Amino acid sequence: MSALLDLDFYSAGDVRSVPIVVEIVDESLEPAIRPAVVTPETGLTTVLPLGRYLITARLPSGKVLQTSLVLTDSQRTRVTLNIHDLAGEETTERPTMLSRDIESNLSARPVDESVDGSAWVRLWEAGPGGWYVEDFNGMEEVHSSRLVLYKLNPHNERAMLQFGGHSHPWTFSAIPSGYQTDAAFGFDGEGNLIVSLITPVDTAEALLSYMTTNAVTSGQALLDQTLKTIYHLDPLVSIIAGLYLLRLNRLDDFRDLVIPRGFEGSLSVDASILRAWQNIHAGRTMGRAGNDFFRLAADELLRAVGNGLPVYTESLVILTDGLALFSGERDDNVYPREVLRTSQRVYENYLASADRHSAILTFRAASPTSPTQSAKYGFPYGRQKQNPWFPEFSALGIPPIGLESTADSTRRRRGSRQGPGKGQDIASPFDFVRQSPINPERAYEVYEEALSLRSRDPEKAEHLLREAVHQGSLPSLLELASLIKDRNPPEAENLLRSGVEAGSAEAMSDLGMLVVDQDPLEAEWLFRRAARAGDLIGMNNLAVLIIRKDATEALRLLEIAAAGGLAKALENLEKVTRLGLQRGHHENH
Amino acid sequence: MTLSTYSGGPGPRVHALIIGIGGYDHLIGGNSKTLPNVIDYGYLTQLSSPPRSAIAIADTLRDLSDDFRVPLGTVDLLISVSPQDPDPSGKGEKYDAATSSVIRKAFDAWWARCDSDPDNVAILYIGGHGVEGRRHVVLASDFGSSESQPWLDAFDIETTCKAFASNRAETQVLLIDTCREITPAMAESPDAVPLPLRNVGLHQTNHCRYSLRVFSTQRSSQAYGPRFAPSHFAAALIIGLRGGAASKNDGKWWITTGKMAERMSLLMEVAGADRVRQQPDTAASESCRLLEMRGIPKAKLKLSCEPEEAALEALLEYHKHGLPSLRRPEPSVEPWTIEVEPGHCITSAIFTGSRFQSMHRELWVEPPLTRERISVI
Repeated sequence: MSALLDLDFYSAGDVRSVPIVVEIVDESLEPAIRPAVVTPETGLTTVLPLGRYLITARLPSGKVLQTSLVLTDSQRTRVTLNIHDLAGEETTERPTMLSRDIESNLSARPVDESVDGSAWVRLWEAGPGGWYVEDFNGMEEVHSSRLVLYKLNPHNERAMLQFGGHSHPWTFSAIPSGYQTDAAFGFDGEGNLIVSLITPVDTAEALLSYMTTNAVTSGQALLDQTLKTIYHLDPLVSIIAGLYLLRLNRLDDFRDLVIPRGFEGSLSVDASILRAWQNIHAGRTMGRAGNDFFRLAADELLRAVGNGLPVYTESLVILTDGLALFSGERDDNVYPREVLRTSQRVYENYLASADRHSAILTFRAASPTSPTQSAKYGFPYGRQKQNPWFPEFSALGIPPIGLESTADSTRRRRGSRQGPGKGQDIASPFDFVRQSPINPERAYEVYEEALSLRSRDPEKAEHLLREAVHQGSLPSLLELASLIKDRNPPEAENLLRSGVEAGSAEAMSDLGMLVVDQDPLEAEWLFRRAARAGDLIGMNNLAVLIIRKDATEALRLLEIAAAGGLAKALENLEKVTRLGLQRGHHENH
Repeated sequence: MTLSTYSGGPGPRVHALIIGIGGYDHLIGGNSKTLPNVIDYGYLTQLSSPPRSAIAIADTLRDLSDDFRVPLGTVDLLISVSPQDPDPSGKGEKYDAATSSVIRKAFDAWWARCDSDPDNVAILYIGGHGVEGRRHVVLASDFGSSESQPWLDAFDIETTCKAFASNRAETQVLLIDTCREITPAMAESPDAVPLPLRNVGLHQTNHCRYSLRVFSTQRSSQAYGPRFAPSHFAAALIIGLRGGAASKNDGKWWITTGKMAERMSLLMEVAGADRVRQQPDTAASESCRLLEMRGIPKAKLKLSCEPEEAALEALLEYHKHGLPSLRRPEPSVEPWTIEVEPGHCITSAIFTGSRFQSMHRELWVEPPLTRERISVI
């Protein structure tokens, strides 16, 4: 005896074509059907023997919806799974279904309470000679209690989003070209910024999520289903399917996949990388006759390099792997090995600073051309360090993925002068950033002069420092706070708080010292943030504060600070070692 | 090398290379002269956990030797013991130290064994010190024997894993249990990447079809383990192999690479890892069956009440059709953890007073752990 089961979904938002993988098991967990790909629009209708079943719907974001039922007669049984309750709001259903970050980390706390002007975002676009900060022209589509969602609309096919804040490192995220992408912003339970970029192509986003969350069964079910419509694939789906097939080592399917040539901008890089790998695998199956394919592969890799950064992290990984294959030390004329070697180094730097768990390429940097493994916090403020672009890259005449030009920096400073109120430089999804009028060159001169006068004429030095602070000089602010802290502690504290707000790790450490007696908890928080930003004094001070409750962490901090050359940390390390303080019962490898 | 052969002869086999590096001669607490600038390499000390992890994993493979999809062929065990834990097996066994040259030789031999048949299953486990720069690097036990070129006695495991795809064994399980922190020395000379155990070649053919590659922790993070016991990652692998990664199909229970990948985080949690500090980094391709379980695996069920304090008055019960019911002996605010058979069951929270409402909940328990909070308001 069997019965008909109708499974449908309840949702209030526009998620009708988002793929979902459904599994049905019996009482003993034996699968009753093969994993099925459905959408909220289609639902699922199937015939099952009478009995008790568990129905599991695995959303691409990793969230699982389950319900059980008993089929007791041969009537038709209808079961509804509620997607709406999962998201809580109609407008957030799609990101909740598709984005792992949004689904698993987003705080239930109202976003406006979490924000308090503590994060910013801006748009960069590639132009002649370099990257430029552009007007943030994203349209606010949703401002729900838990997240803010913008529709990005860059003018250029090569654009990136940059975001950061007091407790979020400055980070870049690639934007897929040719698709109106949603950028969702929210905060996790600890107040950290969460950013998720989602294109309108449901199948591509679902495949990407299953791939990055290692949902092996669901991912393969959707991939198999997708490949059945191989000739009708959206170009973006073909890119994601290509990346997934390569990850799964399904090389025959990968070779048969058509990667369209019509991409412009950032996605053209991903497409070139995939075509390069199709040629590499074709070459590998041909033995010695494969050299023509290898040459085509090298050409595609060079084309990718010429167009800059890919959109997807997986693409960057296979790009560096591909470059490594062709950039051996041999000097022959078969491939331009020097160019390939240099490119490999450049892209490895991006890879080293990238968040490998983000599907879209996301890396830490102050500008698109300067990926870094260290974290920078705070707000864009005053004299941003001009990071030299890899000189060998420009010397080789490779087209720009962002040679940072003087025009670039001038323009950025000019944008800053106009201030955020005019919407030129920085837009935050939550709050416009405060920017003071600034003259960095003047501020620096005044600061230097003040330092030279500090011991001889402290009054004049103080006057000059105040002027430099007014010009936006952060070092002067720290110096001034140090000069007046005994005479005027409240003003020193205010100054340091401004420094903290601007993201200065030194200000965090200094303010921590100032408040440690009255408020050790705030001091610990400040030292922790300073330590996270790589400040050695912050690490030492945090270690001293926490040594009784977490000796392992304290020792680790002292070791890093001592290794970094902080004498006080070395002294402290020797002291605790003499005292015989041991790490906790855990050891790390 | 300590190579044990279990099932010789023709046909596909499981071939395992298990390496546990706990003793480091030239790191702090080692038997020889300490590397002078050891602080630049992360102030690394001796480790008691990796040898015990390696031994526990080798023992588990031996225990399960009859259950593998193909018979267990060989287990090659390399161990460098920590001076603080000279007898990690407790049986006075002696091992060859996992120095750079011994590891390279053992790797080549293991490669050849795995390469002999496409249906072979290749298993690699490495536990020890690791650091990360451009690539993930594992330190051999003689790391630092050359003061000027310490990286000679380390190897690039990331490239090694990629190169292994060209081995003819279609099923490849690569498990790397080391820290991945970026140390000053790696930042100082990022190009000083040690050699891999095998290079990736342009002409290499990719034979790997079913791959499971797990690093025990994320990039730039640490991996942890209790002293004088297997690491959390090793414990998680063992729990997984013994049923925690089991799923039912065709009336039998199988351990598959896919379920290992999907449940790795949960397995680590069951093994005692702190999910905030240590999250595995997993990559899996198509799933395949590794082991067939002899019986029904056990799953942990953690029952509690919502609100928590209700558990102080609740009589918690577990009922499964055809089996005797279980009842919690004493109420407690802590969750009630029991080992049960996977599948459908009924859980109950029964109250004698009127403050909370007695509830019965239908539940499907899955290995390795299922949590259930019974709402009683």
